[in-house]
Amino acid sequence: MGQPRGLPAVLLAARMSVRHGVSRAWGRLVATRSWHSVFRHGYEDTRRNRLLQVSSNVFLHLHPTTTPASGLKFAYTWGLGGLSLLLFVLLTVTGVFLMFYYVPDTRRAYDDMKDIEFVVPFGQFLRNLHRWAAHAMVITVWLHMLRVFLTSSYKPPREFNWVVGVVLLVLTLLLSFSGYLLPWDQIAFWAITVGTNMATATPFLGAEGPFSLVTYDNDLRFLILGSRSVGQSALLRFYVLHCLALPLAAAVLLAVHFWRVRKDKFSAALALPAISGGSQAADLLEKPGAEVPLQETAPAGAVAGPAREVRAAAPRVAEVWPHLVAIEFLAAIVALLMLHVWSLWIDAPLEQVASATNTPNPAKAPWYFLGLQEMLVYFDAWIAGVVLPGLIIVGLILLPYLDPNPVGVGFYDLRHRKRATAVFLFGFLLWVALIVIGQFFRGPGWVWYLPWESWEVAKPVYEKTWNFPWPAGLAAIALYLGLGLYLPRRLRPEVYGTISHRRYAVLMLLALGMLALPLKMLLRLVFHVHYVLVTPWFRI
Amino acid sequence: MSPPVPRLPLRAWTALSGAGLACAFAVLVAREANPDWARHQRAFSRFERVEAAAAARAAEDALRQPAAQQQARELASRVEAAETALARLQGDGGYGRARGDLERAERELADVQEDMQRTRAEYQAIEREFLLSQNDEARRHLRARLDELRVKVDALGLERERLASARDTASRRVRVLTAEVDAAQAALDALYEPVKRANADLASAARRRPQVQQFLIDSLERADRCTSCHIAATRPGFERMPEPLRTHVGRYIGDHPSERFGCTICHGGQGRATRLPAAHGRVPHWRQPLLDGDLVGGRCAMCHRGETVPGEPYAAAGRRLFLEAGCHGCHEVEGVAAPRIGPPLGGVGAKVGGAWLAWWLRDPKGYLPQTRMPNFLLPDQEIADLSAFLLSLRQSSSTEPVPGTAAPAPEAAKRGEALFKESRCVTCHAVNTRGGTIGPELGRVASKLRDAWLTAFLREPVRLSPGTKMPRYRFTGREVTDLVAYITAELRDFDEQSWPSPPAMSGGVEAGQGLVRKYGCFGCHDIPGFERSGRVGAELTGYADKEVERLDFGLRRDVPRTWRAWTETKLRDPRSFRDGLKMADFQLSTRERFSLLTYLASLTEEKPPAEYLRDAGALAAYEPEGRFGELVTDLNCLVCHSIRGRGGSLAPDLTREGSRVRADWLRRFLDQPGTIRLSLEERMPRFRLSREEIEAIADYIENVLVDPAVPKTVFAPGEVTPGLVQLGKALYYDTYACDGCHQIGMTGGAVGPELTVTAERLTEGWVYAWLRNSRALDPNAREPVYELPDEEARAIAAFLLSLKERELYRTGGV
Repeated sequence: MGQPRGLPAVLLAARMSVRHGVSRAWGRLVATRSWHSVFRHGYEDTRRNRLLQVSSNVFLHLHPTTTPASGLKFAYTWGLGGLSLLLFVLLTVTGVFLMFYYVPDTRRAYDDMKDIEFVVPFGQFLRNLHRWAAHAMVITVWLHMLRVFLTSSYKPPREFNWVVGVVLLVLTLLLSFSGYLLPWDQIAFWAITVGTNMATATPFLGAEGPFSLVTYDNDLRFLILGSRSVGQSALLRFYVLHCLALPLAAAVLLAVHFWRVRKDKFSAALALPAISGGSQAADLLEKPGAEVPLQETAPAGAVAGPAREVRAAAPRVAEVWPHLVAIEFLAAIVALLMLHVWSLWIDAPLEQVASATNTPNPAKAPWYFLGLQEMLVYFDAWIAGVVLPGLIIVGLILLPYLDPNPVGVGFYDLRHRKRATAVFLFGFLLWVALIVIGQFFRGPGWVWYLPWESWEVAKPVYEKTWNFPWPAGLAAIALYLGLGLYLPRRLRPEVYGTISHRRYAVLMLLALGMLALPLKMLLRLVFHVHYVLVTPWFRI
Repeated sequence: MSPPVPRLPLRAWTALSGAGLACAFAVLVAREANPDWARHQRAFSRFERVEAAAAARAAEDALRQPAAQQQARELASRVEAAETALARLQGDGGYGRARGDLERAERELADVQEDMQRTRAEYQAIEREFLLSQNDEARRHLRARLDELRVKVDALGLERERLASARDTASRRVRVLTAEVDAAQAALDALYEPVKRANADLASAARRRPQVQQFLIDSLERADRCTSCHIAATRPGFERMPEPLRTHVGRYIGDHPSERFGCTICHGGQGRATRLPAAHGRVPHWRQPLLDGDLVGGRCAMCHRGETVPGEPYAAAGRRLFLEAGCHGCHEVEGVAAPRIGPPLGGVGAKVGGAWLAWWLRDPKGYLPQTRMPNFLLPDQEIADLSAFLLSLRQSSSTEPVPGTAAPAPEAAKRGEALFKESRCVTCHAVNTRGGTIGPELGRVASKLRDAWLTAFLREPVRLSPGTKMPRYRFTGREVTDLVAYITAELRDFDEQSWPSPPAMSGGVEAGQGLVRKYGCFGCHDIPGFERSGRVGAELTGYADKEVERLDFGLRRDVPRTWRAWTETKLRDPRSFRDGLKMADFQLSTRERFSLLTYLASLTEEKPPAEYLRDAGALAAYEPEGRFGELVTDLNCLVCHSIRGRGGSLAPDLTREGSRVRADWLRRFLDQPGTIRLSLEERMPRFRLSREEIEAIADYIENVLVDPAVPKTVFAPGEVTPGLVQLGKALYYDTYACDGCHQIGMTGGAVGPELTVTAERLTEGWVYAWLRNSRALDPNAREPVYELPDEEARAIAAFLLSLKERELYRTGGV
C-alpha cells in the first residue's frame, strides 16, 4: 500500500503533470484579453456567475435570473410554449436546407421533391423532420393555448399577450397551409383547392358568396391564389409567404409574445391564487431578485385581500441557471429524440404529381382544417368556411375581455371556473371531434365510412332532407337568439349581471354561435333538416 | 438559502436521452452512408479491380516472355544506336545547327507577333480617339497616323508570313534528323503500352468512389438513375454477372443510346428514385411500375407505330389484332383511326334470311369459324328483338325480285359455273375454305342471302353495299342470272334442316333498336340511324397507366389486384367481373391474348415527343384522278394493287407501270389477263372492260405512272448486233447464272418471273434500268443487286429483248 511503484507510478506522475500543465495553460488562456472580449465573466460555479450566465447571454436572457421553485414545475406548462419555439427553430433550419434544393416552378417542383428524397444526402430525413415538426408544432400551439386557458394565464394583465398568441396561432396555421402546397403532389394541390374554395363563399368579397360584389377574376380567392385556380401563381406566392413573409411576421410577434411573458411575469411564478387581479402581486414582484412569499396550499374560494395577508412559510427560489435551463434542455432533447425517431421510421407522404384533371375522391383539406370541411356538411360554405372560422378567431381574441371571473391565475383551478372551462373545453373538444370525423370517418363522396370499412365499396347516399319554410326559419332563429340573450341574464343574474350589457351581448352571441353547430348537427342527423332558413341570397 | 440541486434523475434522464439522440443519429448516418446503390457499385468495382489486376498481370507476364524480352532488348539497342548517331550529328554541327535555326526562327516569329499586337492596340486606341474627336485639325493628324500604322501592320503581316514559313522549314529539318530516334522510341513505348494501360485501368478502378449515376433527358423530362445500381447495363462484356450488375440483353442499348432514351421510357419504374422498392415503381402513388419482362416489348409500339420491330413480334401483332378484331369500334384510342370492320347493315333486311340471321346472332363462329364477329352471348329474346329490328332495315325496291325471273333452267347453272370459274372469283372469295380471303366465304352463301339481293349486288356492288371491295364486273343481265342460278344451286348448305332454330318468341323492332344502342353494334357496322353514334366501350387512351384502383374487380375476389391480372381476365372472360357487362366473347387464343396485352401495355398516357416517333410510312394518300379514278373506284383496283404507297400488296405495285410495260402488252393484258409468274396460282381476274375503259386506263398509266429515271430508249440504231446478243447470252447463263431463278422457255428456275415474254412485255428502258439497279425501282425486290457495269447490262438486255416466244416454245428452249 502507499505510493504505487514501477509503471503505475510513472503513469500517475505523467497524468498529474499533464493535468497540471493543461490547467496552467488554460489559466493563461482565459486571462487573455481576446478571451475576455468574447466571454465576459468567469465560469466557476458561483452564484454571481450563475446569474450572469442568464442575464448576460442574449439567448438566455429571455429568462429571469431566478424563479420561484413553483416555476420549475414541468406539469404546469408541460413545456409547450418552449417546445413550440424549439419546433419553430427546427423548422427554420430544416426549411433553409430544403430551400437549397427546391424551386417553386410547377414544372419541376415535384421532381425536386423526388430528388430531395432520393439523391440529396439525408434528404428524406430532412423532409420528414420538416413535415413532422410542422404537424407537431400545430399540435403544440393548440395545446399551449389550452394550457394557458386552464391556468388562467390570459387574465389581466395578460390579455394582450393572449391576443398576440391567437395571432401566432393563425400564423402557424397559415404557415402550415402555405407549406402544404409546395410538394405539388395530389394531396397538396387538392387540399389547397378545397381550402381556398371556401374563400369564394365569403359574403360580399367572394364570387359565390351571398351579396357578392365581385366576379371570379377579382374575388378573395383570386387574391389568395393570384389566379382563378391553383397554379404557378399560387405556388410562387405560397412559397414566398411560407419562406419569408410569414416567418418574419411570426418572429416579430414571437418577440412581442416573449417580451410580454417577462414583463407580466411568468404566471406560475405567482401561485397566489387568493389575490384578485394580478396587479397587486405585480407590485410586489417589481423588485428584482426579491424573494417572493409563496403559499404552498391553495385556499378555497376566491377571496380578495392584500398580498401581505397570505405571506406564509419561508420562500423557495431557484436559480434559472442551471435548474430551469436543465429542465428545458432535457425537454428539448426528448422532443428532438421523439421527432428524430418518428422521422426515421415514417416517411412524409408524397403521392402522384398534381393533376388538375384527376380529382381524388375524397379531396381532403389539411388535417387542421378538416374540422371546417366537416362543417360543410351542415352549413353552406359561407358559414362553415368564413363566418364560423371568423367567429372562432374573434371569439378567441375577445376571450380575455369577456371572462368576468378573475380567479385562478397561475394554477389549474377548475373548481372555481367551471363555466368558463366547460365552454372552452366544449369548443376545443368539438373542434378535435370534427377533425377526427373528417380524418377517419369520411370516405369517397364525403360519405360516412367507419375507419375499417374499405373505400372500394361504393356507398350510395339516400338521405332525403327538408328545409324550414322561411317564416318558420326566421322565427326559429329569432327565438334562438332572443332566448339565448334574454334567459341567462334573467336566470343567473349573479353570474351574468356583473358585467356590462355590451360585454354580455358579445359573450352570448359568441356562445350561441358556437352552440349553433351541434344544434344544426342534431337537426340534420336526427330530423334530416338541411336548411333552417332559405332566402334567395343565402341559406342557413 | 441553498438552491435546490437538480435531482439525480434529471441528470440521468438527460444523459439517457442524449445518448438516445446520439444513437438515433448514428442510425441515420449508418443508413445514409451505405445505400444499396453504393454497395452495388463497390461490388462492381471490386470485380473490376480483380479483372484489371488480372489483365495487368497478364500483360506483365507477356512482357516477361523470352520473345518479348528479346524484342525489348533489340528496340532498346536500336534507340541507343539512333541516339548515338544523333549525338554525332550534334557535334558535327548538322543537328545542332538545325536546332539553333529552329530556335532563332521561333524567337523572331514571336517578336514580330508581339510587334503586331502592340501596333494593333495602338491603332485601336488612336481610332477611338479619332472617332471621338471633334477637332478637324486633330482628326487630320490622327488619320495620317492611322494610315501609317495600317501600313506598318501590313508590312509586319508579310514579315510574319515569311518567318512562319522559315520556322516550318527549320522544324521540318530537325524532325528529319530526329526521325530515327523518334521511331525507335515509339516502337519501344508500344511494347510497354499494354502494361501501362492495364496499370492505369487498375489505378482508376481502385480510385473510383460510389456516385449516383443518372441519364438526364430533357426531351423526355426524365432523370433515370437506374444505372446507379445497374452499373453495367450499358457496358458490353458483363453478360454473365449476376443482376443488377449485368449487361443489358440484345442490341437495344446500341440501337437506343441511353443519353437520348434512358431506361424508364421502355421499362417503366421510377427513374428518379435510388432505393428499392421506390425505384422499381411498384409502390402506391407511382403510376408506371416496372413492367414484367415479357410486356416490355409492347413499349416498342409507343414509337414504332405500326411497323414490326425485329425480335418483338407481339406488339405489332397486337396492334394489328386490335384493328382486325374491331376493338377500335367500341374502344377509342387516340391516334387510332380505322374504318368499321363489319359489313354495312343498311338494307340487311332484304339481304339475309331470318333463319340465318338468328343463327348468326346466336353464335357467329358456329356458322363461320373464321369470322371476326364475336359472340355477344345474347339470350333468345334479345336475338328475336335484334332480328326483328335488322330485318326491318330495307332499302329501295331495286332489291325486290325482278318480275319474270322464273326458276332458272339447269343450263343456266352450268353457264353460271363456267362464268364463275372464268371470272376467277376465288381470287378473293374462298369456296369451302379454298380461295382468297379478301371477300366473304361463299361455300354456303345461298343459304344466307336472298336471291333478289344477290342479283342486284352482282349488278351494282357499291350501291348495295357501300364501301365494298368487290369490283363491278361488266356482266350482262343474262350472265348475272346464270351466276345466281349457279350459286343458288351449288353454293348452299344442303343441311339446312339441321340449322339451329330461331327463337320462338316474336321480337320488337323498338326493343331491337334499343339493343343496338346498348351493345354498340354501330362500332363495327354502319347502321342507318346510328351513323354518328359514339363508342360504347371504355376509352383506352393511356390504358397502360390506368391505376389499379380504377379497375372494377367487381365480384371476382380471386383475381390478383394488378393491372395485368385484370386485363388478362378481361380478355379471357369479359363478363366475369359482375352482371350486366356488355363486352362480347372474342374467343381469343392464348397467343392472341398476349399480343393484345402487349399492345395495351404500350398505350401510355405520356406520348413520346415527335422526334422519337417512327410511323410506318404515313405517306400522303394517293388519289387517282379523272376517268382513271372513276374506274379504279369501280373496279376496286387498289384492293390488290398499290399505287404510290396506297393500296394492297396482293398484286404488283403500279407506281411505275408506265415505264415498265409496253403499251400494246398492257392493253392486251387488261383485256385478257394472263399468267406472269408461273409460281403463283392466282392471276388477275377478267373484268370484261370495254375498249374505252382499257384505253383510259392504259393512257393514264403510260402518261402518269412513269419513272423519269427509266430511259425510253437504250440502244442506238444498229447497236444490237448478234455479237452483243451472244455476249448477253453468255453473261446470262455462264457468268451470272440467271437461269437459277428465271425461266426461259421450258428451263430455268421459278423464283422470279419467266423471261420468255420479256420482249413482248417489258420496255427496253426498264430492262436496262432494272439490270443496272433493281433496288432503285423496287426496294422490296428479292433479286440480288449485282451492280452490273454498263456494257454488261446492255448486253444482257439485248439478249433478253431478242427472245421470241413462239420460237422458244417450239424449240423447247434456247
